[in-house]
Amino acid sequence: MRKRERDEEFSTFVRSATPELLRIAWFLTGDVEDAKELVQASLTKTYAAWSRVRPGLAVPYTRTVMVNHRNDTWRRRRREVPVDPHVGQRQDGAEDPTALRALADDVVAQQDLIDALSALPEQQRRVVVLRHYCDLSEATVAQELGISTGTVKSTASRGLANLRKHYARAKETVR
Amino acid sequence: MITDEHDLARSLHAVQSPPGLRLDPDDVLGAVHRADRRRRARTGALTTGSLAAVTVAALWATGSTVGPIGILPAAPWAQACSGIVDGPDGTRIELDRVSYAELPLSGSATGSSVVVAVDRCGGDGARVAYATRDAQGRLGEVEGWNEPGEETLEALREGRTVTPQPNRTPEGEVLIGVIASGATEVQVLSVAGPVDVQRQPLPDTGLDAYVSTEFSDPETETLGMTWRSRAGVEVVWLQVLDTADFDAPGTATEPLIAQDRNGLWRIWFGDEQGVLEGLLGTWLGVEFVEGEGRQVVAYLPSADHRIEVTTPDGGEAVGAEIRYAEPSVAAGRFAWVSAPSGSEISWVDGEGTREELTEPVRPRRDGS
Repeated sequence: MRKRERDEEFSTFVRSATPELLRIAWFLTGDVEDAKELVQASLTKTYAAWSRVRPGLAVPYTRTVMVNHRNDTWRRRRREVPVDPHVGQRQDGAEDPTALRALADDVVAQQDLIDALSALPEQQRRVVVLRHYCDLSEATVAQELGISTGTVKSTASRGLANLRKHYARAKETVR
Repeated sequence: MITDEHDLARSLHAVQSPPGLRLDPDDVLGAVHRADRRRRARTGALTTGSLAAVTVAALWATGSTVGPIGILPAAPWAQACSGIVDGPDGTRIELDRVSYAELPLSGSATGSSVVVAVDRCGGDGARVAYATRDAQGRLGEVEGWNEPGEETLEALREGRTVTPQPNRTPEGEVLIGVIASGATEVQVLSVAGPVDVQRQPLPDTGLDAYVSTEFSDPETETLGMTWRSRAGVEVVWLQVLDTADFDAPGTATEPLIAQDRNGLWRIWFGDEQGVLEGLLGTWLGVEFVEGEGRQVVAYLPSADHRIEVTTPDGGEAVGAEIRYAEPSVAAGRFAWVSAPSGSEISWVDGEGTREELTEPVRPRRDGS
């Protein structure tokens, strides 16, 4: 394949796949900035291997690169939750208390889920995201992570149990 | 609340992406192309310099070392990223093109070993990977890898960081990674208690490969690693919710504090390990018997609370030191007290109410 055709193909792929890859990366890292870095790094690797990536399999390839990527350094989790600054405002710019309250509830619920995911051990988090967000079969998750189907099954089950525990603890704290 | 896997899937799909979760495709493509140009320049794939790279490789293969030594690579693995290779069937290690060490595995994995390899990829950054060799001597596919950049590689060599990677064994897990050859006192911080670490040099890298003994379940027990570099005691945390750092001078044995995934604060001090159990709204302390004098680590519910150290008659305790450390998330702070034996260590709240932490009776040297 000529370089120009290859670049055009890759460019089309980046434009269509980046939003979804970013969401997966966000679930994997629990942090917006880390997610962006992860996607950028993974796309760079995908481009280097583009001639070997079979047509139609670019998303799974990049996803595999992402889930197998490890940060070089441990990073502390951030507590800030970015929200759209225009949500909770009426058209005239005034605050809308009902919308603000709904936004606050949504943000708390979403952040609970992200926190719960971030608290999982890395492998459990990968399996949970691939299995329950990417909707992959146990066999495909096993293939992408290079582990057995049995390990996927037990890891997913432990992941779910740990997420339940996290919510139970969060509920206790609220009380 | 997550009830079952359908509920989990539904919740994950319903989460709205935060507004900042965006990348401009043009920026992404620009960065990809820049990185690719750098990579190709390093690997000699660009026209400039490619001939020199081929010539040097040929000289190495024949064992000749003619010409200025500066233009020769240090070793075959300095050529490109050809030692740890991605292929259609996964990633594999080419042992003759990497610096590697092989360490035997323990416990339920006894009989097999782990190969840890470093591929210098031509000099700017590296690839580190590991694969297991089974009892029949077959080297499997790469099970874990990372790509430390030049800065991370420098930090690894200087002992400022490590790269622990948990890896499953038939009945547990082990911790695998690389560490500076000059690092000493390497220790896995685990709820399970002391875990041995074996090391072997990775030739010409300034690094050692390491593997821990098998854990029963490190997914919940491996909290970090600590070691001593020239700069002092270092730590890297793995599966923790929060940490607190006293920032003690490099020569001191500093308590290492982390909150495990069950919310318990765990403290390591030298060879001892303690856990703070109870309500974090109250005074919690743990006294270590390590070394001379009293060594106490306490959790104080707020910054208004403090520690005071006095002699039994209320005078100044000479030689006592108090350091405070604030966790990132938890509301209170930690105090680390080093005080002479016989001193009184008290917790004082914002209103001046005092409570003393009684000195434990130490076993006498004859064991009675």
